[in-house]
Amino acid sequence: MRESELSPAEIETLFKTYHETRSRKDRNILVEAHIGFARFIANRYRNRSVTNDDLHQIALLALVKAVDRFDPGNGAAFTSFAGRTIEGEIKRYFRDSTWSVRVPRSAQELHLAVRRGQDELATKLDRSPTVNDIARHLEIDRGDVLRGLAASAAFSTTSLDRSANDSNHPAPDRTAALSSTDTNLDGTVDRVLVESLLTSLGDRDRQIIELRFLDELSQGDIAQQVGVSQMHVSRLLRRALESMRNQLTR
Amino acid sequence: MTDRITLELPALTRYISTVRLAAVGIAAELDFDTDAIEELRMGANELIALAIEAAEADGVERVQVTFLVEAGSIEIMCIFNPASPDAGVQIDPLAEQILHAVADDFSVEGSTIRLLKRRTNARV
Repeated sequence: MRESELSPAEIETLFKTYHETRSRKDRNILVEAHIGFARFIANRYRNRSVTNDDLHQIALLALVKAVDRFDPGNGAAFTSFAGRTIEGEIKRYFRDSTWSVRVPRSAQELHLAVRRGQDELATKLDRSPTVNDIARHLEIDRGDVLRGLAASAAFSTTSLDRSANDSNHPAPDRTAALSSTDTNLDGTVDRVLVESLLTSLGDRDRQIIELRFLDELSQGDIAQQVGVSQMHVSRLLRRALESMRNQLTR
Repeated sequence: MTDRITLELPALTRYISTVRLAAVGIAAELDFDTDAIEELRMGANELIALAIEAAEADGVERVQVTFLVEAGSIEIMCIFNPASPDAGVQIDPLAEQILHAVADDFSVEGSTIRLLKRRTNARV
């Protein structure tokens, strides 16, 4: 079923039903009805360091989360809520997120603290932190960390509104760095240097880098080949690229 | 060593969150990173929702959920029709796409739907 086949009133009714029944069939119809919208948003971030397939996959997962978390009783339009969620997830994917949506104060404060701790630790540890890492870092209970994380539906899109083609406003640092590595691997970067950097990686990381940039496979295809989830591939790629970059600038 | 945790639940959608919560709690105990926990949460949600839907279709009132917990991974098995191990279930394309994205492996064998999630820093 496509978006055009459902009227706004029908979508509203379906959201109310889904909110009560949590039926997967209703969920699937709602996701299907908004898939074009999700792709439209995702397409604004094309030509960065991920393939369109991967970008659409992130947008799809974010849309599923948005449908799950949307409360039809709060008066907001779903597309407004989902748009923020999708952009937030894409932005988070590029590791550059902050708040933009109002949430209950205590939850927001907790989330802000947890998110800040998460970002600080990600930089310090050079990996995504665990719940225990964050709890220790912030000196709060592990349950509070989980509560803070649970409020993650709404990330800001503050600097995300610029399009991928907007050369006056370059992508965030990390993204720019990744993009630069991506586009340069083929040509201008000294192949000997790249090969030596690749040898500094573990077997699995090297394989993933080669599959992504030499064989030009999408993260989804790599995931199937390596036997891990697509999101896991995304993290491994990011870490491997950072490791290579660190070697280069050492 | 594998720790085995089993839940038996009424096949009602209101208990989906119970399974999600259990999955997240176990993952936190295993020191999964926060991204992997969020992915496991989505995967567990999809798995138990599929199982409950299949149980309803078969007229089954209770589903079993087993977590097989190892140092670097969690496997979740949902049995939606314990009395008929060969009963199958059709996974729709959206559920398949979600599970492919968030799980390191998933499969359907008869009335058992499985999902495997490894800790990001565990070796594959």
